[in-house]
Amino acid sequence: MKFNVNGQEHNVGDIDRDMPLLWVLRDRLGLTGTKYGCGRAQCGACTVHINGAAVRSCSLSARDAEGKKIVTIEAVSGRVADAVRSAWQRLDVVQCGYCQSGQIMTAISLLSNIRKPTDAEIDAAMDGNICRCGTYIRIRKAIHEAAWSIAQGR
Amino acid sequence: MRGIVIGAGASTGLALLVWVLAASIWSGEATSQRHSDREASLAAWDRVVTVLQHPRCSNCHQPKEPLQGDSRRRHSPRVVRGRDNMGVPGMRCGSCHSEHGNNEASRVPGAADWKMPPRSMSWARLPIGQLCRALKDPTKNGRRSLNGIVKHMQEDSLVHWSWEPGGTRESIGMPHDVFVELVEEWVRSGAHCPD
Amino acid sequence: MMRTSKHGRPWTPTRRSFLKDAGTTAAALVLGVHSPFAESGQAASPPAPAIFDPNVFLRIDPDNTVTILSKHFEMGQGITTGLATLVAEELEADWSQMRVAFAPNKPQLYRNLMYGPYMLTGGSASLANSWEQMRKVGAAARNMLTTAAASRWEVPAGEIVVAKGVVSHRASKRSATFGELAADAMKVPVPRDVELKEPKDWKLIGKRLARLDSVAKATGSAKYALDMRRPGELIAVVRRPDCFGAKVLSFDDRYARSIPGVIDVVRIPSGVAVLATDVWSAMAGRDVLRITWDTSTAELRSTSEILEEYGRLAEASGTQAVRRGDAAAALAKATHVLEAEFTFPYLAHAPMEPINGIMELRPGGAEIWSGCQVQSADAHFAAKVLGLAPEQVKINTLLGGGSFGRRGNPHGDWIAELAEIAKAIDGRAPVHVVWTREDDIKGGYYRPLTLHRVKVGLDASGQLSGWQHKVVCQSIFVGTPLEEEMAKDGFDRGSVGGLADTPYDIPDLSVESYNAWSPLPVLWWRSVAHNHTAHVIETMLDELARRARKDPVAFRQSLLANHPRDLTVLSLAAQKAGWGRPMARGRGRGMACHRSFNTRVAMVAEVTVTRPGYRVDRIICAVDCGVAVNPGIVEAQIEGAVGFALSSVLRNAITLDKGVVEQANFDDYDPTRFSEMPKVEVHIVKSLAAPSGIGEPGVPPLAPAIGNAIAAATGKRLYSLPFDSSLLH
Repeated sequence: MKFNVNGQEHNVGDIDRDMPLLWVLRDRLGLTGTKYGCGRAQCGACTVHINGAAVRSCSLSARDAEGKKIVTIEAVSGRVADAVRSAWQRLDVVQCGYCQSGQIMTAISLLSNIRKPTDAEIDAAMDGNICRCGTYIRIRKAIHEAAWSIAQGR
Repeated sequence: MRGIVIGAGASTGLALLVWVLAASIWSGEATSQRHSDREASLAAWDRVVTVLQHPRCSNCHQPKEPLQGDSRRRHSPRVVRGRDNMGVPGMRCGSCHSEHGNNEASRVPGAADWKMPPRSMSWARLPIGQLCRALKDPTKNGRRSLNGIVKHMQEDSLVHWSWEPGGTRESIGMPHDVFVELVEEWVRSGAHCPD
Repeated sequence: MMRTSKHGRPWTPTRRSFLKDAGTTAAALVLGVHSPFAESGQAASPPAPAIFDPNVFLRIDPDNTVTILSKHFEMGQGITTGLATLVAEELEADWSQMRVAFAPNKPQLYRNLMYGPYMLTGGSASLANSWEQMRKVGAAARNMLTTAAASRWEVPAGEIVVAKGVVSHRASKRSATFGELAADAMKVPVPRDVELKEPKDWKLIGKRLARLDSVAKATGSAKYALDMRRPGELIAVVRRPDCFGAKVLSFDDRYARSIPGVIDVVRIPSGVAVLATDVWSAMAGRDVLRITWDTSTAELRSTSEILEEYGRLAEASGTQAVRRGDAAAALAKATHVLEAEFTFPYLAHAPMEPINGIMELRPGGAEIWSGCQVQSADAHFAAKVLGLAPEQVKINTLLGGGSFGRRGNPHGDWIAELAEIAKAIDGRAPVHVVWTREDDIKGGYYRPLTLHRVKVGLDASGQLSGWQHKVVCQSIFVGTPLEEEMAKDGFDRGSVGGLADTPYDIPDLSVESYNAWSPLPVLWWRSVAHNHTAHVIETMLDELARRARKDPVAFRQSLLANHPRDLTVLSLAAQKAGWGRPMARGRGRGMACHRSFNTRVAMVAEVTVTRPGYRVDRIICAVDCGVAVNPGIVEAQIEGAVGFALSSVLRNAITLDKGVVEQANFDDYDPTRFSEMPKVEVHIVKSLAAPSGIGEPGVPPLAPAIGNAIAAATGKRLYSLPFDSSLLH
């Protein structure tokens, strides 16, 4: 089977077509930035971008992922991605860090569509991403800060 | 049809009697036809509404957020309707619900065009009479005619999904074509609503 | 509290047991002579002095990076940044040149100085035990760099200045980086002793330095055990019984073996393992295993039945944990007596990275890659399974995706399981055991189900008059190698931590402890017994205050007269929260103040009562953790503890139905979500006392602060956790 990931075509040979994209990325392509947290679309740790939108890779089969443009945390780029990563680092958002790839991918998707999200809009976008370490306060702050710096043209 | 027949004599009277008798049987038939139309319509509705109130349909026909599962619990993870009924940036319905269909690995249901119906089509906590009237109301049902309602039940991808919901979700109790026939029958017999 | 071991040597119980007030932090506390995790052939002995040889803890590379070898496990709490700060301070390094790697599992070099001979991370003791040691490492290294430069330049060492990673001699205008001098410096004999800076000279300690792991974790490049792949490794997922204590009777693996990618199926003590080339195939193989179970030794009760048994146990006398004064008599004289019962459910830790680890066997040894928190225990149990000596087990500690206590298991459970699988396939390939989220939620090692019964009295003047307290739960230590240390005579000291050693002045106090038993394994859950004892104490104090018509803060102050540091956090939190200012109708403010692991935390919660229940709006926290090495990390740990503990207040519970765990994943074990997170304000008490730890102390006060706020808003008192908000309406 062939997958378009991070701008490149990858041929992974014969695999179970029901294999979730998550495991194709992690076990076949060695892209371990996208995490397994629950396998049931409950936690968001597996979030990637498909054709620009945030998608939970544990809920998309290899069969349904073929032919789509997939971007993972390792390669997500652009003004919004840069601003989000910078804000995350400046504010030391992370603790254990395991959920953060998914948090960041969701935040990038939010800010790519809503330039200056309100707290309610941030809640609605981020409620599906679990953090057991309790970094939600800093995530919120980082999203606001990223929005501000994008607006400033930084 | 009642008419005033002016006749003379017994024959007229007999004719009148016969006419009146015939007329009363016919109007009784019309009345009882109307009665049995209404009865048939309500009987069909009674069966149609069990499908509409089934979690597969009513879970999404909600005013705010969709419900989840046979137990109709709050959707987990939390989601919001969004302006276009398809979620919000960062958490679109399609983030999890695949257009390609149910995902058995994650047990997340899916179908083409997965979204919530407009708020006006919410049936949450509506008694069946009100539900019926709301369903027929073009200002609420997306300007659908009665035939339009039948078409929705017949063709809509999310309606079809309800019969193959995947996972351990309970499917609708009757076959889809039987359901569509009942909707058609309900419409044919006047699309009556209970009080 | 000194006791004498069987061999007559004095020893002090530590770790998960109550500590006496004040001054115990600096002492090297020794676990008893029955060292279950001792290296083979090593007789237990008093601890060797702390090592501060830079060669043990530092690596300075020619590219001028300074890498700290962290003896502690990084699970998000920021310890690696903290340790690097201590070293960099005395070393006079530039923060930008600091890096961290994990130390090898050599307890003789890398032991936790508060836990005898053991290498482990826990008890919120990492900074506390490293405080002096790591600064001495930095100072010694600076000393050796200076000596090397002096020798190279033939100038007096006293004229050499070290700052921001550069060593220089002004007079001769010479300078060199650490990298340039490192090779020579490391050959200099380690100084016998070193001087440490005065606090007024600190440049890094006390500053909000950037975390060293932020970049990797924000770019997806940080590697956890689940991300590691050893060449040729096989992924193993294990089918364990639905009921704890059940055993495999028979199994049919023919369907599993027919799944593409499945390589082998083996029986192990904890169940049946399916080995495959990738995670998905292993999971698919496991799904079609057919197993019959022997449940004759299994826990088959429902939670309600177990609680009923706890209630019956509590009717008799328990082990007296504390008997001070005469609580019965004081209660008999009391004018008001308040009685309450609290239940606390089993709780799963549910770290975001599920348990997993890799083992490779080779002749005469084994190598592990995992997020190992208690390396001494892990090596011990791996060695036991494999018939090796612990020194033959090499552990590569990796970043952990959360722990909250789960990865620090004195049973070494998943490492032992991993070793069993490796053994079962004769080590012919590396094995990577992976637990799914369902395995994690259903896999036991929970915070114990706990019942408290408490009776407290007030005299006519509104003073405390008697406190009788019973705590029923399973012991974390009975039945483990740590039993001798922690649960002598069946009394588990860890079960009453925070209660038996409360700083509140309670002259007539009786605490009885009851050890229940079940094959269901239990484990410490962030802050151990404090996560239930604090809730009971702080709730009852609040209720007593209200009954006595006293302000809840003032009531507590009157009981803390001899404890100035506790009084300070209490008063600071109250002040910052505007305690006493009226709140709008339907809103309430609640206080809770608790000391755990020598750190004092007071929290004021503000809640709003809503139609379905309540919402937690804000937590105002005051914390005294001694020197706050990195205030940003201290704040993050308090924020984090609030987010983590809130889930146990709102809804989390593991329940059994006839022995089967009813929860499976995050939909039915739903942690705190983004929109539920309150605002959190943290006020750190300025202190020069040695740091006392911050990983756990933020958890205990949260639940009672919220409960007390709800009571203030509604007049209704909620006792058991998770709070049943339907009781409010």
